[in-house]
Amino acid sequence: MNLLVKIAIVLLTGIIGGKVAKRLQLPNVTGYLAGGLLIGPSFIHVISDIDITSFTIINEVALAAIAFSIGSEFHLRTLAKVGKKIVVLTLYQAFATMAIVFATCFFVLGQSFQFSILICTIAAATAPAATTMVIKQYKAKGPLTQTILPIVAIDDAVCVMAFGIAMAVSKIMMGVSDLSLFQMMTHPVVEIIGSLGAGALIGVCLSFLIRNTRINDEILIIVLSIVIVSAGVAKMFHLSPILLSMMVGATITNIMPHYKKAFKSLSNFTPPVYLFFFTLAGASLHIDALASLGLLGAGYVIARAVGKIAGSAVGAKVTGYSQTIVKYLGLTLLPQAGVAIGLAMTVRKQLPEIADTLIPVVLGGVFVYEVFGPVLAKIALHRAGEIDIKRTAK
Amino acid sequence: MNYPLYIGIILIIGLIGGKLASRVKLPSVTGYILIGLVLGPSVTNIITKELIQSVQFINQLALGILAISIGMELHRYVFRKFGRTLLIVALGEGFLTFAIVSTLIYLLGMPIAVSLVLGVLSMTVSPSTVMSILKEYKTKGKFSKNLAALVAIENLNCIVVFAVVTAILLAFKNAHITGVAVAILIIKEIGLAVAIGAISGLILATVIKKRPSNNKFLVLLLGVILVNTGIAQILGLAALLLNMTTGAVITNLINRKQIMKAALNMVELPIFVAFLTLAGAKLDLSILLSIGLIEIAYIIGRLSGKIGGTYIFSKLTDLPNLTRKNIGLALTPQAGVVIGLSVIAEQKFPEMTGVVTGIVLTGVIFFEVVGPLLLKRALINTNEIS
Repeated sequence: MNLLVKIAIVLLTGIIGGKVAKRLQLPNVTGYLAGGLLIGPSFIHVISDIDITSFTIINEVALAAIAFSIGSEFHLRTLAKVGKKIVVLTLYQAFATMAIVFATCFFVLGQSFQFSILICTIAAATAPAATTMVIKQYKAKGPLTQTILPIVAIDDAVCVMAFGIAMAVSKIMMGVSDLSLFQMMTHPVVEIIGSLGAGALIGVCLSFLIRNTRINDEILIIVLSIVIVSAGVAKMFHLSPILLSMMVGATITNIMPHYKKAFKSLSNFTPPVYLFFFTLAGASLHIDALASLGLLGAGYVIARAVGKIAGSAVGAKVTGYSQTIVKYLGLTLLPQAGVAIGLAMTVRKQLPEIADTLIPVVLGGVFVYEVFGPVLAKIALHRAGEIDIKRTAK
Repeated sequence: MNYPLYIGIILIIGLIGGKLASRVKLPSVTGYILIGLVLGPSVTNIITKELIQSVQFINQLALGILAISIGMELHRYVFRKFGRTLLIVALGEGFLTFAIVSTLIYLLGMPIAVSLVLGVLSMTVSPSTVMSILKEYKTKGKFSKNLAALVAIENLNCIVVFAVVTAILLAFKNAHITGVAVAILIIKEIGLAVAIGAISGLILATVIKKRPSNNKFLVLLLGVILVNTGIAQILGLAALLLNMTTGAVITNLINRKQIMKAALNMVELPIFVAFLTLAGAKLDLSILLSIGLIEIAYIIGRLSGKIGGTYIFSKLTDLPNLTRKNIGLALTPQAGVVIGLSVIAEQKFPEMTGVVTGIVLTGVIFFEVVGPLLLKRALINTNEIS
């Protein structure tokens, strides 16, 4: 079928999915994902896996745009106040998740050590996109909302780092690498520093470009092209698109007096892109991934949830956050998507013998968390009193 | 290939071109096209042929948006109030321009098919340029109001003639098709396009009545444009006609053009910048150099057709003398629509090997530089801007 028609089908399915979701009082994102799942290979199969790869560019741009908008949360002045707390909290929930998933896989389910350390670092990954969308849709406001966004971002860096180390350790244990541990560990460090550096640089260029622009349309084009370029640069140098684009956003937030105009103009353009992104993400979920999950998968899914929720609670308590955050933060950190899949694919490339068991588990987990994660995030935000249902009802 | 990087760069560079152009008092459109030319295969080859090919969908989206906006100018109020006058001027001038350009180019030794197609293409007027200039100078008055409707009618006329001419030419190519078959083909092409476009329009109009939020409506609108274009591609119809019909149906069914305009405004500019920069990149300089004389004939033919045609045919109407003299000047800008049609023509007649696109695009450069200046002059002459 014609590619344009397919794009249109994805868009229209997204709209309908969003409508249905709203009627059921679920977040729009869930509607898009469910709609996508329906037209994807799992059910009707209007959109095939090949189609999905041909739309990669839209995914890349959407992810970069989402990360960019998260960057606006990183205001140095507020960060100086809460920064340390947030970093500690992020580390708590990440390491708790890793520890619990590792223990479950290694001790309870009897998996190999390499498998267990790799999958536990993948488990730490969260998807910023879905949660961000839920926050945007319901115009959530409050301490919990303010805490989530920076955590999701820092979490990405932690995850990249931990995964890099786990990979190095596994490779050495399996004797497939002749590099030393130190040499391999520089890889993730380079990736993180490179992403942040490149992001800062692009951010400076952006602020320079739009400093004197007053016409809204022009700001939109400049911001949009910079976001697209960020996605491209990340791809080209194998950097983290999330960290890089987020850094672009964070940079202009801190060096430009009127940085809000940049985020505002972009937010006019992005709704169709996001809708497309999530519907497509739904289409790329395979329901058969669930069937092959088995005991291992169930253990993984439960262990990750326990780790995220308990880790966030303990971390928040230790750092002195309010009771609401202790209770609900973990629930909002459950969604998982692209980053986890990307890491699993890296395992396939570098350690194929582990990938055979690891990939189905990760994909099954992504399925579960991507479908239920946004719903749980909404419930958490609502219970925390940060969503005004009446105000956002329309 | 690393598409995001390329597309981002195309956007930024296109924008820089637009900025440079406006610094020397040229329309930004000209800047996008020229800088695209510099980046394209015929000069620096930063934008390669494969890249242009693979981002085709930007073109289709841009043309779809354009066509819907044109269609929305075709409100029945316009016809009722100025109908006879505008139709006489638009049709008379259109066909005259068609005749002059085709004849001139044919006399210079080009094949008849190329001459006819160029004749049709010379009829189009750029709605985006005209509208943006009217907006820029905040014109108010009868002249500018008529102008918007006139542009819409001219383009509609051109698209219909385009469908007829290409159908006839295609029929001649396969010699064993009869006259009746050609007629059926034409009716089928136009009828189907209008029918499908009307259905899409009906759907959109129903949705607008429910007062959706801008975001949601935008997504729906883009979806419908893509469906229209996709169906047109599958069935080999003119996507422009389809989308125009959709626009016309909407504007006649509901009185909320602003919603559509506001929704489109959110995404228009980046899409158009990419579209026009890519259009510039498609220009092949070597072809341009070899068609110098024909190009001149095309430009002179179109100018005399537009200015002379409107002057002559408006004699049959009650338009005031001042308007009659200036209306042709205002109809000279030419941009997106004609590029879109030339691309369709090349797809239907691969044997034209870029000659049509080359002439049209060079013409666009000329008319996009000179046209806005002429339009501005016309507006000054008719006292609609100070």
